[in-house]
Amino acid sequence: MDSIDALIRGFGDALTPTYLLYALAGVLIGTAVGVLPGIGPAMTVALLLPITFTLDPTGAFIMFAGIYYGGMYGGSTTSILLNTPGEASSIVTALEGNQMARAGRGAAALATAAIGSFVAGTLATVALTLLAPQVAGLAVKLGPQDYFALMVLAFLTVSAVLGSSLVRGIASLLIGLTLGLVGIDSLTGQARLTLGVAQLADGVDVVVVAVALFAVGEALWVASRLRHTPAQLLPASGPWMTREDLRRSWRPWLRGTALGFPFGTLPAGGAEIPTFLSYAAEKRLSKHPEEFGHGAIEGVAGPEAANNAAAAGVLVPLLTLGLPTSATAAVLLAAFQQYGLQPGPALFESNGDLVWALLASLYIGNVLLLLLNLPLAGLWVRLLRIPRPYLYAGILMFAALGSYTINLSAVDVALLFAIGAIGFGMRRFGWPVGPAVVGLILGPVAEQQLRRALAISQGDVSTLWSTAFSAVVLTICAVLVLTPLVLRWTRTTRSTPIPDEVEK
Amino acid sequence: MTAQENRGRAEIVPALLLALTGVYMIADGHSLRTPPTEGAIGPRFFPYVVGGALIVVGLWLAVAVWRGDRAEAEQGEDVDTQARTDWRTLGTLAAIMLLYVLILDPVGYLLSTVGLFAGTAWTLSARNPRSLVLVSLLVPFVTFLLFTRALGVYLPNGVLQTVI
Repeated sequence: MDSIDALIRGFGDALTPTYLLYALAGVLIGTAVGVLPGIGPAMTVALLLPITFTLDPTGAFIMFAGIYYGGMYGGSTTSILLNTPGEASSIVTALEGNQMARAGRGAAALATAAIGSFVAGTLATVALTLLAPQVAGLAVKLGPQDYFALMVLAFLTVSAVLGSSLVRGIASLLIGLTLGLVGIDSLTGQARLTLGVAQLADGVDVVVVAVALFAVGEALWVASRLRHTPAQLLPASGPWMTREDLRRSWRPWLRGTALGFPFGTLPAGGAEIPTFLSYAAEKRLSKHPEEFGHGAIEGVAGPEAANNAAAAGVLVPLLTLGLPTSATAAVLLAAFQQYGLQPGPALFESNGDLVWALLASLYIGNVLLLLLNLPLAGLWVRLLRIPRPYLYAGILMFAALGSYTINLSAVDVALLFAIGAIGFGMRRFGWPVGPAVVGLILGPVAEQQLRRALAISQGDVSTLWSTAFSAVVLTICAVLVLTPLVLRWTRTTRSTPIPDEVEK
Repeated sequence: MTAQENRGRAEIVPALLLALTGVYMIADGHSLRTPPTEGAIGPRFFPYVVGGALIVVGLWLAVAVWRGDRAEAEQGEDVDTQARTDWRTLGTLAAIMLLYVLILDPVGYLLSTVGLFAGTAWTLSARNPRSLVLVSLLVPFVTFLLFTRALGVYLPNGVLQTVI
């Protein structure tokens, strides 16, 4: 069993006192930042990237493992106690969790979320450990045309799934692709879209764009419509989980994990779909369906587990194919690139030690999260009371600091604010931000793979669907594109057009 | 009247900007040369495809908005969905950010960041003078110490060069 040996070695690397400290710091900071209102996991990781710049890669990724899971977990506290989820995958947790907190069962809701996250995170990390080397082994055989097909699929699903409007999802993706084209073309050395600005020759830094779209965009968006009477904060009160709660929670935890992990591994946009599916499943299977909508603990346990399991599942395509399928994964990929590492099948061979240390620290991070969060829940709650002016001033400060430290250049700070303005506009008109970050990171890779494939075939376009794998993936893409068009066509020919929807 | 109705057809502007970006991208791509060593498509192809897609999607979105299609603006813990866009706050913040970029290197990280923090907090209506001064001095100072001393990151000292 190669991977078990490798994992044990990974634990050996990760369990040194220094690295344990990094893991602990990552979990603490990740949870603290993730709990802050308005900050989702993607933004947590993006904002905290600069802290890790001075660490060695192994230390940095160990810290990232903690930040990643900590940020995921932190979001659930916010949605349970504030009822205004920062991101789509926490909506379901907010539904029931907030009702529980309202009924004086906040502590039980937080506990089932914490333990559910632990159970799901651990089981899904086991699945990740078993699956990733297999997928990487298969992925080594993929050619450039296969990668190109996969990326087209990722572009399509990410634009369709993140956000509610398809055309706006594609618009967001194209903004990312455009920003990704800025800079010197790597194959011919010609400048593209640099507007004659010398500093743009190296391209726009992915971290700057991610922090700008998530953090600055969010700060400006909130500033433009700041709620001057803060949202009502519920106390984390009431008895802790009872035996009855535990009995009602463990099956949803396992079912949520079973739903979340496979969906996370698919190139279909992360955690939103499995959390909704888990909620629907728990509602159907529950012996107390009447409690749903009024604080059913199954409705917190299942979706929260699904959310965390999907977070681990997302790491499968990320580590083995270099394919980010959620905004958070895209930022993680940017972190890898910051260290000159390109996730993909080769990573397991070239930087195997690092990957296994990362996987080992995912287990460690999960245990630390559970140990920390049960006693510290009260402390996290206090973070929700930070006065908003200082919170958003701090976010801007950190965003600027992070961008400055990448190249020690004020030009990056200017870019940060300029792209932040785009992020504001996107929020105002309901364009999802995630596809832009995915497009920015995958665009240049997709172009490279396409040109490589066509160079090998000497310009013969049919090479793009010449392998079974690429043909299947491109067929899936075609089905995804054509199905809604056909559906719409049949609908409009059958009945009179539906009057345009008017917003409330 | 809610903000949703008030928003009207303003989204046509960014949609058309997308299309214009596409036109520019195709023009920019046109000036690229494809060396004979590079197989089939060269550096032009991607700008052409993305530029073309920008034009199509920009126009598609503009038409959709014209016909009444609206997406829901993003939700958030601190966002008042009923409020109108507060352009004065945004303008002040934009001015603060621009100033920050200009003075960051000459004046130095610490002083400019105190300005950024205090300015932002004030603009977002932090009005208690004592806590405003205290927090705006303390947070940037601690951050500065943490990054320069503990993490070893370089940050410009600026006018405080002799003191720090």
